[in-house]
Amino acid sequence: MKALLVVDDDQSCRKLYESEFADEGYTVTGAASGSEALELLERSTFDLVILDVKMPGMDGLETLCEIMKTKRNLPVVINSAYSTFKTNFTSWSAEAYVVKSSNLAELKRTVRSVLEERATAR
Amino acid sequence: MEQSALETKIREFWLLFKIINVMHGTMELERILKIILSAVTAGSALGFNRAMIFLVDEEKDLLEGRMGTGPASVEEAGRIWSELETSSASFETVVRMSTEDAGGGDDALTRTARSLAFPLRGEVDITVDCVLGKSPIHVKDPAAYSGIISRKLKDEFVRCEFVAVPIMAKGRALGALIADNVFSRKLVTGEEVDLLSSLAHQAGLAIENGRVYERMKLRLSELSTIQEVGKGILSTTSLKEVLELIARISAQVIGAKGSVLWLYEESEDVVTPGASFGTGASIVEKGFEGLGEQLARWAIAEKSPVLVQDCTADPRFSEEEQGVVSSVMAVPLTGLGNRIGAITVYDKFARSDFDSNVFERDEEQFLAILADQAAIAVQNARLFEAVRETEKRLRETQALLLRTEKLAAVGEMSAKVAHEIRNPLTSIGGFARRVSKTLKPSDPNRDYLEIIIRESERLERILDEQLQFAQLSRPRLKMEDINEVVQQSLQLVSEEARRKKAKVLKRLAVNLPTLLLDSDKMKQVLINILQNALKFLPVGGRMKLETKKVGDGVHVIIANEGQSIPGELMDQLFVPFFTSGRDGTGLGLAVAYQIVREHGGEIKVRSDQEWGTIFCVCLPVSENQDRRRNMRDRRVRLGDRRRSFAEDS
Repeated sequence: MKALLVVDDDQSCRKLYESEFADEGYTVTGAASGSEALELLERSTFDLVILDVKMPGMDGLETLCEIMKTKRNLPVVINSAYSTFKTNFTSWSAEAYVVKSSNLAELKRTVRSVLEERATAR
Repeated sequence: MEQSALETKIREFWLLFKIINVMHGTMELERILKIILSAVTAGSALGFNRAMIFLVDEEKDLLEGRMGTGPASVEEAGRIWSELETSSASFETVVRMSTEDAGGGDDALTRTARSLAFPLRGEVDITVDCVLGKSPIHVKDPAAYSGIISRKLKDEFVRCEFVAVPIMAKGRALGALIADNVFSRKLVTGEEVDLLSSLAHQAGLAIENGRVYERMKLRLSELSTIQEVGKGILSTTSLKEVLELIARISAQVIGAKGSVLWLYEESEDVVTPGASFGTGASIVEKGFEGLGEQLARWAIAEKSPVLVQDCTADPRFSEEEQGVVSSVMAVPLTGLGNRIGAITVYDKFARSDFDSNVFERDEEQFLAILADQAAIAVQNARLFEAVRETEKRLRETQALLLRTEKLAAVGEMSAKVAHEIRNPLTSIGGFARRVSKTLKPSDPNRDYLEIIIRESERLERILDEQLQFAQLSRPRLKMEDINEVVQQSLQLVSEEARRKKAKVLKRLAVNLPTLLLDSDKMKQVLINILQNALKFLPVGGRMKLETKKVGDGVHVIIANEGQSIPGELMDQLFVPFFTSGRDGTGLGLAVAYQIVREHGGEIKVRSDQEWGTIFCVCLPVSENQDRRRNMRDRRVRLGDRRRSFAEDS
């Protein structure tokens, strides 16, 4: 069972993702901020991070930089209300970029394919 | 002085006074000549049998017979005299009769007169001597005359004693008048010679007045022409109309069958037809070089008029050209020292039997005056166009600035709004989906959840549009096949099209040039327009999607059936946040507009009977291709052209 870390300051969104991805058969942990996410990443192992960008305090891109420092191989999928960050070069180090939508089909598809790629690469 | 002599003098003065009165009552040369001849030959006036008038043509340096009057034979003379005696017609009546008689000019003696012409130098003929000497010559016996009487005059006129008097005006001799009494054989007295001289002097003044009058008439028509051109400039705002007006006036005033107004582009040394009138159109159409561009170029290069009276005798014109036109004139248009162009006129209409259909020097001069006015008119019109163009561009820039400012504000705001709204929206829609999945298909709550899902999707789409705005950046241009972009865009709205049961007519032109564009952005443009079209399309309605090459651009046309957009709303379509009020943010078309502008193109909207709304995305073909085409243009250098005409002058 793959473990996902959902980083989003919006509680409702977090709850939605947790339940939806749990339905898909993932173990899902939520983090409300970048710093909380980094703490969780130190304590436990995750297969993939779903990361919001606009967050109070440390934003998603800063969080991404920190993750890349310690866990270079951990795949991160950026999930933002903005598509503008696509062109930010920091986000290039993320595995994928999905614009937020109530229809989670695309996000689910992306997460699945990223994990499958990693599985075959290993 | 004797009583009878005094009476004669009084009678003579009275007669002269009457003649002068009648003569000065008219300004037309033909009429003046007729009155003079009537006065010389009428029984109630001087009473000579025959008379003939010669006038000097200064340009040709000739003395030419112009008109004559008198019976052809003794019998005719007798008949006329008896008629006159019984009716005792007054001098005025005779004059009126003779001048009102249309056939009067075709008198046998007039035909004789017209066959006579002598060079203006000594030892040619008595008439010329009379003009050069400015004094009367009384030949009592032609056989014994010591001076020269030409063979022609002897054959055609001289039978007996005759008198030649000069026609004088202001010290110049305008011509000569000869008269005799060939039928009555009455001897000519010295007094009669004096009277004839006085009459000829008055005639000279009348002729001179007539000429002044003719010149005045010409000036008047010049003035009114100039006025017309002037009025034309004021009332016409477009350069094209001014050019056409000048072409028409040039031909009409000169009485030519056609004209062409040529424009000269000094920086590129190019001469192009600006407007044509009458037969001028076919000269341009057939591309006659000698009659057209070459002629214009010569006038432009030399800054002086060109007059070719007989084209058939001129090897510079091709045989075909000679078959079409017989006489041409060209004058340059020069304004403030700038070469603007030239006017060429073709073939004169003869105004009367006496008028030739060959252009003369004075017409060339007149056309030159007209050309001066025309040059000013063209320059003014050009300036006006330039001012208008600048004003238009200024207005466009202002409008663009307004839009751009709005766009920038929108961009900034939409980014914030998107974030604040998108998060709750994601959970609303997301949870609705979750719940919906748990319900049985028969559960009535499913419908309500579907509404929540659909509406949140719609809100998300609106946010997408706003985000497009926030992301308006410089397009990344590549050579692309526009048809490919159109196909992909259509594909992306196929779901909505199916829902609307739209019948899509596709007419994509083959062999379109590839265009320099950002295909992602262009897709966005087409999708936005297509979505707009689908929004207003009635269910089951028709849509048209067409691409075609138009001039040096490519047009993508998207049309839909349905209600047309009212005129006042058309202008508003591309303004951010303008919406029909039904739904949407009013940003889709604004985005499309902005993107197309960045591609150097424009979007036009209109309606017609068939289609409620027709959007046309006009895209320029890339610059490179344009330049390549221009290089191939044949350019004729001015210098090369000049030589052929320079040899003439």
